[in-house]
Order: sequence, then structure tokens, then C-alpha cells
Amino acid sequence: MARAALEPMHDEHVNVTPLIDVVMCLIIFFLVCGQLAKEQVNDTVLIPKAVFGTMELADRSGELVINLVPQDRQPDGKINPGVQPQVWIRGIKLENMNALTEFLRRERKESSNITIILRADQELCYDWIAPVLVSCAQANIHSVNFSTKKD
Amino acid sequence: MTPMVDVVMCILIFFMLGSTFVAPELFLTSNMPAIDKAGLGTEQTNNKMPDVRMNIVLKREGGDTWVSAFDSALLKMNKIDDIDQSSNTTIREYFEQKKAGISDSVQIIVSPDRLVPYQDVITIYDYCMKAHFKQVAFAPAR
Repeated sequence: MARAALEPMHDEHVNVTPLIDVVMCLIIFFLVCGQLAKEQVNDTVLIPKAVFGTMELADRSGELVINLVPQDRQPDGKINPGVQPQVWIRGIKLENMNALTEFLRRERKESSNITIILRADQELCYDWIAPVLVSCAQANIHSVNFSTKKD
Repeated sequence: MTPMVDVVMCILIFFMLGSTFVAPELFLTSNMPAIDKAGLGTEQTNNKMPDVRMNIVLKREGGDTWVSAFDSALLKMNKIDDIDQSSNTTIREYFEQKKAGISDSVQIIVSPDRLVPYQDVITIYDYCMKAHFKQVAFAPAR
């Protein structure tokens, strides 16, 4: 019995529709990842340098990134250390440190396992950093990690 | 269709390379964020605070940061971008030397002035991590 031969291709062009589908999915993936990362991390914060920081945290569940963003940065990169920085968490700006304490207490009630990542500008004076640490302690959060870059 | 595929591929490569060149952030971990000012130790818990505490005091004078660790004389810190880091190296070696004679149960308290830059606080904490101090906490700004 003669086997039915395959029909010859009438169209000589390669079908690129599946390729475009896949590539579009990848582009959407990278766009969404970028957007989520932007909400967590504020680009205007120049984090301090350190030598002995670790690459990976032991436990990243319940991770909460606190950004302390300096206001009125000068063109030469300097900041006015006397001006209170803005506090941003998950893309939300908090009014002041009292609001931060309340926010952390609420989060702590919802989850017992919270890890704080503090991203503060290297030029901010300690006067603005200490209240964040005290807020964490008051909210009974004892895992605080300082975000740094390689020296 | 071919020009569209070209453009889409370029966009994809742009995003992939963009995500690759972002420098990774490193973390200095801490399990004791702060002491006093109604901070750590105010809630009732079974965990006992260490009996022995030693201080690392950071002062800001004349645009420079000075360190007095474990009741030593004041040591001037180098700025992080200075080429000469000899003073910071001395501080780091001093911490490591001290650690050899200190038990893990001793709590180290970093106590900076309110005007000390965050970078200098992190540098000192970095050296504490290098010296393997197990319990390091921060005092409220003085």
C-alpha cells in the first residue's frame, strides 16, 4: 500500500508566531520584575560600602525593605544631614518615625517572622538611623539587616 | 514580520543585560537592633540580657569621626574613599586582637554621636563582624 506523502509546504516563510509569543512573555516577565524591584528598592539611596557583607540572607521570608531617602540632595551629591529623610516601605511613603513604629507593629501582629532590610543613604547622620532601629526593637523585631555594597 | 522580530529581540536583550549589570547588594546581619529608649529588653521575655557589656563610642569632631573602643584612646577613622586606610586597618586589627580575649557572651554596644555619618557606623559594624563579635547592638544617638 502506498504511503500518503506529506503535503509540500506552500509557504516558504518560517512560522515565527510561537517565537514572538515566547519572547513577548519574557519581555513581560522582565518588565514586571523590574517594576516590583523598583517598588522595593529606591534608586536615589546611595547605600554604604562594606567589606564583609554576606550575599545571601539565611531567611528571607517576611522580608520588609525600609528605604531612608534623603531630601534635597545637592548637585555634587552631598545632602543636608539636618533634614529628616523620607521613609518608604513597599512603595508607600510614611509620615514620620511614629508611623513607622505603628506600621512595624501591625506587620509583626500579622506575621511572627519578619526580617528588616534597612537601606539608608551613606551620608545620613546616625540621628536618623537610630529611631528606625529603636522602632524595630519596639515592634519586637530583632532581625535587622543593613544593605551595603562591596567596597 | 522580520523587523518586528528584530525589535522585540533587541528589547529582550536590553532587559536581560540590564538585569545582569545591576550590582548585587550585600547584607550585614544583626539580631539586636537597639538597646534602651524603650527598645530592646523592654518586653517580658525569657531571654536574658548579657551581664557584661562593652562600648564602642563614635564621636564626630571637625568633620572627622573618632572611635574609642573598649575604653581605648580616640582613634581617627579614615573616610571610606580615602586611598590611605591605615587608620581603619589599625581599628580593625585592634578589634580582632580584643576579640581573642572576650567571651561570646559579652555584648558589644556601638554608641555613635548623633552627627556620625551612617557610613562610619556601618564600617565599624563591618569590623565587628570581621572580628566575629557575636552580640552587637546599637545605642540610641547620643
